[in-house]
Amino acid sequence: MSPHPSELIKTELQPHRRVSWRLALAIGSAGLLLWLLLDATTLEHNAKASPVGTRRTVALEILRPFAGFARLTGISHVASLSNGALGRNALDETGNGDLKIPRFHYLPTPTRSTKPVRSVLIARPTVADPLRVLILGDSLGLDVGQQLEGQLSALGVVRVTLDGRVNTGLTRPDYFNWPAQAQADLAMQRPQVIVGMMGANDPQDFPGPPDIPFNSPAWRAQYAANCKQFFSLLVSTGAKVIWITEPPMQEAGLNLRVALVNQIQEAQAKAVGGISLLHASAVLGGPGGNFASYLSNGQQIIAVREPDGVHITPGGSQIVGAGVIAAMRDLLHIALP
Amino acid sequence: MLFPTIDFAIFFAVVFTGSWLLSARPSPWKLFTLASSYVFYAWWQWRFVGLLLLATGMAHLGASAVYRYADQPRLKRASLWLSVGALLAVLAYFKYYGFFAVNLDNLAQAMGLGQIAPLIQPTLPIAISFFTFMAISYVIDVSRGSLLPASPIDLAVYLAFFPHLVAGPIVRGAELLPQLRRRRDPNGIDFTRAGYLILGGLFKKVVISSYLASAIVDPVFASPSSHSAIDVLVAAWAYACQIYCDFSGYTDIAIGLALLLGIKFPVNFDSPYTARTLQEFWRRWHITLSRWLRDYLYIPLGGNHGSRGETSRNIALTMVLGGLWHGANWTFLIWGLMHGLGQVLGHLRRGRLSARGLLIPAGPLTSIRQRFLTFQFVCLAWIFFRATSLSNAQALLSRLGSGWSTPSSVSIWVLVLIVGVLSVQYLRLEKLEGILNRLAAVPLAVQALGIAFGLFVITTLGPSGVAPFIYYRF
Repeated sequence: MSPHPSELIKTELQPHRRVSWRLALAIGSAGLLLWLLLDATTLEHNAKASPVGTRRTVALEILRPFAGFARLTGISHVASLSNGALGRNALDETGNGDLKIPRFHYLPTPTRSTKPVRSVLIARPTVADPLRVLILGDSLGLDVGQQLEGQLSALGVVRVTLDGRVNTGLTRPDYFNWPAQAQADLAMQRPQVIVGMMGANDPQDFPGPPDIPFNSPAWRAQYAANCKQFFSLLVSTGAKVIWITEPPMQEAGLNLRVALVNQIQEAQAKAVGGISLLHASAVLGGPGGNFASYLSNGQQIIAVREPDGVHITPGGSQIVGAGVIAAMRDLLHIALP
Repeated sequence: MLFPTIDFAIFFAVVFTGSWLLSARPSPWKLFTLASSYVFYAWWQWRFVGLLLLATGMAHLGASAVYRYADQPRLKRASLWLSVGALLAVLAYFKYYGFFAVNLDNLAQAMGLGQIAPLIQPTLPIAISFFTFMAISYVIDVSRGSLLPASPIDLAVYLAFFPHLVAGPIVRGAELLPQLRRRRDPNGIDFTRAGYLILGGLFKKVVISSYLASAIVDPVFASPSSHSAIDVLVAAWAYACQIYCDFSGYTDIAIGLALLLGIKFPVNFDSPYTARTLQEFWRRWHITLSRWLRDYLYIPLGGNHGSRGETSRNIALTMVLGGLWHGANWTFLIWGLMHGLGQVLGHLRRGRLSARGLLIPAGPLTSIRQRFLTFQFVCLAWIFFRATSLSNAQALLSRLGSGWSTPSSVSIWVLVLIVGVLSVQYLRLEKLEGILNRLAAVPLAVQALGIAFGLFVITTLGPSGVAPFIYYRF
């Protein structure tokens, strides 16, 4: 192996004008302050969407005067105009507007319909008349959804659409509005079966004012209402829903918090009706339903959870996917090959 | 703490000011830099600061021992193996234990031996591969006599210095340690170059890399069966551009930040997609890793001093281990193997041509063909690197063969960005220097406006949440 370019190229080809550190600090700070003014409303909007807590409070306190000044002087119009030119909803005077949450998986073949249409479940899907399945989820839902999409597509008679958004859930519609997104998905895809999995991001306060602390009676009531609204929307078009609850988490505190989320989701799914629950802890849990990094099927050991103790490996996701397909066959009585 | 966040901007403003206020007093400056670096690391995972300290302690003890026993070869060799082995053992436990335990147990089970290795899945500490490799290079350099042992505080700052800590560049002791001891000029900051590198790096990461990821790479790799062959092909090219912008963007920011603190890092990328051969690609891609592999693995294995077969073995083994350095996954192993075998074939071909006297400089057309083929091969290997599993890679490759009748959903912007990223690589370095010189001559108030405008463009064009850098995982 011959010498690397790093050893051949001089790190400094030509001397530039050098400045003192104080001047560098002054130029850099001036640049940052100007940028803060230009982007204050966007940054304030993003800060509002972050999890409730000290970090959010401090960010909002710092950004508020900048955003106020930007609105007062009309500087905020620069950001609004730029967003508008890019086809994004411009921020209004209070800093509200569409957040730029990247969609993980674009819907490949939208139908022409713009309104939800009642779907009729087909018991015997064929290549010519495939079963339409919509998978919705957060990052864990995406873990499962990506494998499930492959498993279902391999059957040859299922058309799958996966709509996953990382860092989302049902606690913060101000950050990402799942009911609105699901409504659009339902209208475009007219699914006959919906598979949903989200909730690991939900153990957090509802933003106020006043903030509603996690696990308080008010929080439990609000979260239950959000779940009920979402589940009611999913079943409203006649689609059959399979809802996957969260698997156990490695960290004990998070596991307890997620257990509460599961409990509320399960109660609301039963209250709404028409929803088949698949308990991820039953297929991904170890003895007693506890967290397990590995599972054995008697012949092979499989790593089912990622090292972060939260996410699901492709192998673990295939186990959950197999559970979903089994539920389609056994609970929904769909004749899949 | 991610570089492109407000948290980091505040952190850096404090560190920058503190660092220069203390620059005339070496010991407080080092302590301050070390404390800042540990805060930066703890922001991610405070539990693993102890691991960083452990690696520093092992490197210090190892280097001290090999230096002390310089005249006693057996003791020196034993000290070297012990310290390098201990550092590798820590890395292996955190990074590879789960992978090997599962595969070993499955093999044992198939042979009727039952479970041999306890199944534990350790949490992977961020940056462990980077600081372990730097620690190993430090001990080996002291053992080779090319570096004198550093004081514990110097060594700790060298390993933990936050601009390079999380994802490199993998800086050598000889490059950084002397800079830590030298007094830095408080009036000599190359602000224009640093600003250009930081803003350029942010643009590459936040705008280009994020867009390519969400617009084509992530959807196609997540669901190959719903995309066309053209989508898969473009996604492979797009991933080549995404990972380049992501990783070189990080490195540019790291180099720029270090420059602001008066420290120079080596370059890590040199227009890799202009390479005509795989060997050249590796002299241009992640340069500090490939020179590490060359100096501490390939050459100790025998390098190119043995027979043709031995050289081929050394190249293949180096690349396979380089692949596994990225993670315990069959996909990385195959990625490394592809690069290894590709280089071996290139090496053998060049040897054959050279023996016949046919190795002549390539003409323009040959050069274009070589560059095109090398890029396509690199993209093919990237499919394995990016795939979540071997079955995912297989699905992508099979779609590449069968999905030509499916309509493509590739947007024009994806193609524009791919062409743009590849074209920029052909810009000559002297032109860049000319631009920097002109920028440096611009009044300082205008430079401040330029920073504000650059940041505004980046935040406007980029997504609201920025995904971590790809190389944070390694």
